[in-house]
Amino acid sequence: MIKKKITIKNKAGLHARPAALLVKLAARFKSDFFIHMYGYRINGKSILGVMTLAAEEGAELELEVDGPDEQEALESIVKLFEDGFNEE
Amino acid sequence: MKKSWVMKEIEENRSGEIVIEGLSASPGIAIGPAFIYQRGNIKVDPQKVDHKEVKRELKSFEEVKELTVRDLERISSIGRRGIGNDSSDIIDAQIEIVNDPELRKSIHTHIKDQQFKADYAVCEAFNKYLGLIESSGNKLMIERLVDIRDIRDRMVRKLQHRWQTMSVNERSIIVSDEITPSEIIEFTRSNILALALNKGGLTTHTSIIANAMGLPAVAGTSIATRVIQRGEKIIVDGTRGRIIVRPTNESLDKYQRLLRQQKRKERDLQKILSLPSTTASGENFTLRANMEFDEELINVEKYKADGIGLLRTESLFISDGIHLDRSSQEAFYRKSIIVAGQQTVTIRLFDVGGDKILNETKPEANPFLGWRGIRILLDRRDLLEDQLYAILKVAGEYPGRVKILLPMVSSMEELQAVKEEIGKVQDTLKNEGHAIDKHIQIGIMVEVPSTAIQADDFASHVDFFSIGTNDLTQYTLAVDRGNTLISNLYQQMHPAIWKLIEMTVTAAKKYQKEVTVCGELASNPFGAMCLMGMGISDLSMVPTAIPKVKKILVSQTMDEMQDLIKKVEKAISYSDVIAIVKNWYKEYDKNNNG
Repeated sequence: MIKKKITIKNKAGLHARPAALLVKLAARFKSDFFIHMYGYRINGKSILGVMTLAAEEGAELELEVDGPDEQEALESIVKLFEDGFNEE
Repeated sequence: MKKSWVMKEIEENRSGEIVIEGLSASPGIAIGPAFIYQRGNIKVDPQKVDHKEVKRELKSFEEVKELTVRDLERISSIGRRGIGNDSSDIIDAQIEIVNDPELRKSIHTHIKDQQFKADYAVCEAFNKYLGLIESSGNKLMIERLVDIRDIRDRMVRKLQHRWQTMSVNERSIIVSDEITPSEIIEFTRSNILALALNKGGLTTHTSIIANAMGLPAVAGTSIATRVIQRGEKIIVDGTRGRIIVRPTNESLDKYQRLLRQQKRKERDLQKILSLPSTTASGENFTLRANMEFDEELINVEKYKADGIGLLRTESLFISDGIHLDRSSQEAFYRKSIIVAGQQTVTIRLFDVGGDKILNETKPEANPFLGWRGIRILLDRRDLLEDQLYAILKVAGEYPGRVKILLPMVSSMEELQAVKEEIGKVQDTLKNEGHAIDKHIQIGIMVEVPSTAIQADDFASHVDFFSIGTNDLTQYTLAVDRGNTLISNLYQQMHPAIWKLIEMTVTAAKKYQKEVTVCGELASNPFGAMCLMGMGISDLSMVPTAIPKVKKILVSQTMDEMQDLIKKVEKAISYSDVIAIVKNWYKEYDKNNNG
């Protein structure tokens, strides 16, 4: 299991479109994926779960990936966050 | 539709006229009697089921889940080609919601452990999330609640089999709280004139379908159903997003004038469409339709297309690798043939990437250079066999009307392998006592550069070439057409593309084989003229492009078009080509506007 802290960079935060991109990406990997925020832990492959976080720009969250392809999965997911979900 | 909520205001002046402001969901003007359509809210009761019925409830939930995803994928795909991406993004998010693993788990728990009926289980599971998102106070999220509720209601209605709609008055304007795509399609059979809707969010779907159907629509008014009374004459101005209730004579005059203008435009369009398809110097040409969905098929007739030059079959895949069985495929092919009248239908075999077929497929580093099109079909013979069986069976019922098109061919071996498979399936059909079309035409897409380069080798082994300029451009120029960083480099009129088209045409002529173009280049009037000049007189395009292409082609002589392509072929850079295009339009506008 690996973990990494990350900050939301895109202005609009984790709204519907980024959330859809995130779960779509996460679904490609076998590993389980969770997001920790404000003491909650949600399944990162669940778009509704991600949306309930309502994470805004600057919010800090912790990614937790666990499974056979965890390294690759974490890298791809972190990249998506760092690219600001390809939006301004 | 980013501006989901426009402030709506009612202006009531002394004459009693009311103007309702809303969103322009689909352009156009209509004047007619209002028909108040009410479907009513979904109703669910916490009904429990027997122990033995749990399995059945689980199954119907899973079925409805698949159906809902399929509906959404359809709409998303129509939308991507029709209007902007904003609305498709929302629909993509909705698809993820339906597929949400936690939601599914929660629904299963409600059914299995608490023995609730599926409709109640779905409602409960959704409501938990709706509540959580609502209490987050995040504005952007709260705006999307409407899209989540939409999904919930769709699924619940499907589970309750309450999908049948009531009938509406002929030639009326539908005034409703909201409306679903399937309802719109249903209502167009009653020749409805326009839509006036209270809600905005869900109308993303509505807007896509209304546009595709050419139906004026105003959405997001909040109050349309409360202000408008049944049967009264109203004006819907879909272009400006405005509804006028109890119009003054002045407004009526104004809009009747606008309506006449609109009708004149439609008549002009019809006039162009009813002209014979011949150039100014008398050579014939053929304009066909590119098609993918059931819902679009009506456009073949509407735009008087010469049959279907490209029938995409990717929509026959549901999701997670489920594809429609043979008889459902046959039904779709038959319907397309009937729509095409006496013309042919070119059916392209499944052309999808690996991720759409098997959900356990690993992500590929370069999916466009990866496992897709014919490569998948040859590895997954079950898919190929099922599709060929359905196509060839229908082809036997309508001999001479069906052509088969192979996607992503890059080698001779692939062509030979599919031809062998076709032979085998034809034998099976014959043995089963079905009629077959012995001379069914088999062609290949020219979209991988190697195939264009080897066109001369392929020509003697195929009946026709279909040049897919979209992928041909992407592969030849090494430009991913979805990558916005390099979208300026995606140039269908690049000199290299013309050269590859020319090679293909030369080979086809040498062996007297047909050649058509079904990419975007064909739907561009300038591109179409150049292709005609090269000797390609058979073009296939999105039906809405047919009028503008036809208008240009009938105005030009063959000599003019040949001169034009000669000029274009001398260009050594894209900017040279663009200069020729600009120059041509300058001349054309001068000659046509006095």
